[in-house]
Amino acid sequence: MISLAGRDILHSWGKYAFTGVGLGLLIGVTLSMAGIYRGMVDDGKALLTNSGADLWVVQQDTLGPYAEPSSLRDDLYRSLLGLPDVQRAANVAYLTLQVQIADQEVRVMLVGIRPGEPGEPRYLIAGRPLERAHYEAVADVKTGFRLGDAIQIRRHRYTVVGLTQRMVSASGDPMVFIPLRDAQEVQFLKDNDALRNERVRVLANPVLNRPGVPGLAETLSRSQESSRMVNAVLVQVTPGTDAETVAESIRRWKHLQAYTRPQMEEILIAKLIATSAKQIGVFLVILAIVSAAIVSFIIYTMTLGKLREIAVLKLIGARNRTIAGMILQEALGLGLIGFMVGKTVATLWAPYFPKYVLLEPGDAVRGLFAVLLICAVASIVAIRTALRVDPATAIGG
Amino acid sequence: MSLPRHWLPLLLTAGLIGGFGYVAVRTGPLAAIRVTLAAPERHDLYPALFGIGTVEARRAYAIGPTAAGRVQQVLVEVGDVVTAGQLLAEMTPVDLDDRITAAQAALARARSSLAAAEAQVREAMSRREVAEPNARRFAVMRGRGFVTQEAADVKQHEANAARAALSTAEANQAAARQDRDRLLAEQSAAMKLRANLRLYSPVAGIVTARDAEPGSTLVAGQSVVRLIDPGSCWVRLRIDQARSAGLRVGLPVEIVLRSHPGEPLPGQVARVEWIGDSVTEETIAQVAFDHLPDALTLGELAEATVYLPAIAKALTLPSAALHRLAGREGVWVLGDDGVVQFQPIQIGVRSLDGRAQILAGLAPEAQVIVHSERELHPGAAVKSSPTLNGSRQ
Amino acid sequence: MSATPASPPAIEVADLRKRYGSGDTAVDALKGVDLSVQPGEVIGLIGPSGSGKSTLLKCLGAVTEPSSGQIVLSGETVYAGGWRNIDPRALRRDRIGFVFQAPYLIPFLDVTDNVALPLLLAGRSNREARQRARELLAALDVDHRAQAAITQLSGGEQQRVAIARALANQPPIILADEPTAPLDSERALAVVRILNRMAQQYRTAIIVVTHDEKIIPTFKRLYHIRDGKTYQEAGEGRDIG
Repeated sequence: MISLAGRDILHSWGKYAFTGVGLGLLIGVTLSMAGIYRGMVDDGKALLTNSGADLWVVQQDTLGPYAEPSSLRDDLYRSLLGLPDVQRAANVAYLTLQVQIADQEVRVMLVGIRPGEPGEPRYLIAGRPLERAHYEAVADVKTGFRLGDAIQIRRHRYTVVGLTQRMVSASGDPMVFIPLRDAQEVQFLKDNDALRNERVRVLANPVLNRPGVPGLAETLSRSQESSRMVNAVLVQVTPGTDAETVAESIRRWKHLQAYTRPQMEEILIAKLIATSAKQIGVFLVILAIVSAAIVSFIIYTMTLGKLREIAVLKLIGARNRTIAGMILQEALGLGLIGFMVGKTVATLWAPYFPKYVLLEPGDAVRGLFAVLLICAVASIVAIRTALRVDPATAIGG
Repeated sequence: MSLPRHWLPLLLTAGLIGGFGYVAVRTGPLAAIRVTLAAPERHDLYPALFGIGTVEARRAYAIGPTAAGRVQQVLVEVGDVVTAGQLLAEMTPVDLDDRITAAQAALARARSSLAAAEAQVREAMSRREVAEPNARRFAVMRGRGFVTQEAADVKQHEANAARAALSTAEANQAAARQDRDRLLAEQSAAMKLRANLRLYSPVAGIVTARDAEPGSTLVAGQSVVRLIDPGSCWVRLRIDQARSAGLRVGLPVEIVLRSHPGEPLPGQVARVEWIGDSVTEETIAQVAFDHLPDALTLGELAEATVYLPAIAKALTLPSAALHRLAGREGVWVLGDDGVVQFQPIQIGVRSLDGRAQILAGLAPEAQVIVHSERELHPGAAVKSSPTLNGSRQ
Repeated sequence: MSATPASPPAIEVADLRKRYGSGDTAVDALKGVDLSVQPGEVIGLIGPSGSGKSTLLKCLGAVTEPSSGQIVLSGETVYAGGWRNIDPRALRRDRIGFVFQAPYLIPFLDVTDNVALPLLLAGRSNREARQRARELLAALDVDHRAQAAITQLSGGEQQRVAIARALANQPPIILADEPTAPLDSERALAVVRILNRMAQQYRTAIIVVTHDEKIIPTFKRLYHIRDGKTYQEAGEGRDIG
């Protein structure tokens, strides 16, 4: 038996191809939408993976350095290093700000790290890691910086010595890594006017600027101008140790909050991007419904255009199965073409999205089954219509 | 069914399948991770330490009064060059000058008293010199009987009285001298006190601050002016303790002042402080300029690179290749069989331009992965590429 | 009347009735039709509009179920007050051929496959079906267009392909509904010639429903249908070569 569906497709392949491409673009949009959601989740996971930590130690009663502000003394890590099963612990400071590149502003997450300690970028695509303790930066390529560029952050210029990739904050801002000491300064050092005002304020305060106690006001100002705070301590536990056990002892004895990787994911993915995820989810559902409706219309219309041929086929004795099979095959074929076009275009245009779009193969497989299912369901109406055609209409009169 | 009639749809189908296949293979988990490779190289390694510091004066002088007082006049301005012993400022003496005047008057009076006492002594001596021979002559004449006993007794009494008067006058004279000496000392003390209110420069130097103006009251310890010895300027350098190994006196240093970012100045480590900063975890070193620059601002930020002795012909790798896996330092190596493996190695010094010395653990011909598009794992599929930057997001 | 008594008629219809609707609104479209056609015989079925021509055609074509009566195909009773253990669809596929006023070929199949389609639907292999189709196309002198698309054919060629398709399963009877309506007289006569030739060659009975004055004189035997009843009469049987 020859394939009636195949012959029909081949006969009107132009119409079929255009329809398939149109459907494919729609499926591409749907896949991209799923990719945007996956990208958001992956941004969060990338942030956690790249920090290379087993535990995030943050200020008590706060939700960590990413979802809520957290502030810790920068000598706390020493007491953490003293705990059993803690292998490495390093301070990190996070700060989101705008930096200037060429004539544009880029929103970046500034990460203060100690070179060689947890929190530094895990791999580079160009250049070298931070070697100096000051005024060097490793930037994500998404910032647009290149090796040798100078980044002006507050009052210092940082030279880009290395480039990395997929180092982003939970909200997708590319990261710029600078030495911790500099990041602390950026984070807490006020601008010059504010510093001067503060000094004058201290000097004008008679309690602080006592005549009998020379130097008090200056010391006070100086202590106000320096900061010894960080946002979190990243902890690596000895391989083979249960991170939660260590976290528990930190919570109990150090009076700090400590999160393990799964807890951090929960915070980032369930709490931080929950609303955006739902937003995208609703849009995705609507898009899927719209796609299904459009596929139904297309297949129904295609079938209506073939009613005469179907009547003739029935008249010359084609079985219902043959006719239903033809329509179903055409619908599935359309779905397959649409899926392939959609997957291809989604992959091709994904890099042009400003934020990361992650097209997971699992999603693609699920998408394929969903498309085929939708096509199959959508062809039901068309099949019912086709089967109701009276073969007598071919005879006429 | 002849194929040529449907070449266009067939071509389109082939194109679609081809594009889809390309997309499936080149992206996602099936795609190979692009990496750059490097072999260990023999290099002269110039390890260096990097820190930032501030320009400070080794010797700074705060000139102020030793006791509370009000500033009367300040004779120098900031930036003035002063010589050793130059009067810089003066504190208000309050009643000190009056007290000196009073002391001087008292001294004059004491001196007059002393002169009077001396005159009295002379008078008493003169009386005694007359009375004593008279008494002796009358005693001789009585022995001969020329005069009466009574007349001789009178003359003896006169001589005794004259002797007593001399003693009195001498005592008065001593008292007057002591009085004068006391007042002399008092006057000298007041004069010294007065001199202490004048503030002189102890050294030749430059006035860096004028902290008080005439009329303001200071307590002991506050300064009126501050001086520095400009020849003693150096950079107080702070170096991260974690990267300060090898720091010692005499190492060459390149100093870049913030005001002159393009002009490195030569210097050398003059002192490594015994006491570091435990809070900031920094070691402090003092770096002296080989030649003092003309214009220096104290407190100016300076970046300094301290050069450690070079290591000749060391086996090195780009430091971007170094990774940590399960607590061990090492590198990812691409084997001859194309399998990616983690190779723990022992790392020596690192240079600031991003090369690290390999002490042990790596064959010299090994293919080491330097950069990678994604994080590597053992057995990862990789594809070598000369460069990764900028070609794909 | 050239049938030999030894072989049963290709089709024999007795007292066939068809009533549409029921009760007061019931319409009797067929009120007792009798007809009989011998294998290899071509007969005409003529009648004015509304005479029941179309209904008869649908009943004979197993598209519409008659209300009562009997239909016998090649001696086998397929209808007697109801279809006899037979699927009307299979009946249409295997034992009845159709030729329509407009050819109604399947546009997305080429000429060969259009002809082969009934065989393929009957479950024959592609090779066998195409082989048979090419034979039929050769018999109908359109084998030079075997690979062509339907839209490339002229009206007469399309009608010939349609006839080939009707013959594909070697049905005992072919129902032709106004096969010559859109054609000029020369081509119409050519079609009738072909029908006659095919009827002879494949021993098929052909019922031609028509009111085309050009071809009515060619039939040796005619059935008039009026008011749901058939009346048999002899035709001119003009020889058209």
